[in-house]
Amino acid sequence: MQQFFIGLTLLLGLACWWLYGENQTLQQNNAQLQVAIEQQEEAIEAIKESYEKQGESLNAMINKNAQIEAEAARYMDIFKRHNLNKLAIAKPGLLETKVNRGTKDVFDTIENDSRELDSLDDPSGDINPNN
Amino acid sequence: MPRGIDLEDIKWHVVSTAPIANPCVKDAESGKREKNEDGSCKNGKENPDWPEGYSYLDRFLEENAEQNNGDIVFMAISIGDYEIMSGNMQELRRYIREVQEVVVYYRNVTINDKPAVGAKVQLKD
Repeated sequence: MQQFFIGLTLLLGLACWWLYGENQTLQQNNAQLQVAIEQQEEAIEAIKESYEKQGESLNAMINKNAQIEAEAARYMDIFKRHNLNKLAIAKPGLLETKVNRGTKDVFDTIENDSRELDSLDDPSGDINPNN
Repeated sequence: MPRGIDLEDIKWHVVSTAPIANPCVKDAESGKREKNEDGSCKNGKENPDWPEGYSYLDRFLEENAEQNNGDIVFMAISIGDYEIMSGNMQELRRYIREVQEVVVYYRNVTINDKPAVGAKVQLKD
């Protein structure tokens, strides 16, 4: 009888030791999963923010490009509205002044556009303070 | 980013056979451009060396000959081709600006952004 109880105690002890080990493993896994969930949530949040920012930037770019296209079309419309040939025959001096001024303006704007682009990697010239 | 574009100014000469105005010289006392009875200028013309009907083309050719030791040499462009060239310039400008917007877009969506990467999980057996 005594031997039976000793055997039972040993068996229960082994079972407890095994269950304790399993419990420890599960606790560690649980902790890792918690951390993983937090990381996943942070990642999802970052993706959401990035997606929103991409959407906003894409819309801004589309709007800006439409403005640029419209401006280019407006410039080209000048030639449709005016008969430069007639004006050049009648008043070449007047047209010369306008043409030279117009060319200088276009050159200046191209220079300014390129300088604006050049300043994008300038740390002091942050074009998006929200970043 | 590459260095900005640096463009030198150019000068266009618009020339036609239209005569250049050569008014009479103003009278010092009255301040008017007085004429004689026969229609000629009382005090002469502002550019007395210009012949009658002196045109923008004449002046351009004269100046050009002076600049080139008596030879006349220049590159000409018609009004139609000038319009095409202006259009090409606007097209180039449009492209530069649109590419610039693409750069701005990528800058906005990439700089100082949180890294959106999935977490790695290693479970014990």
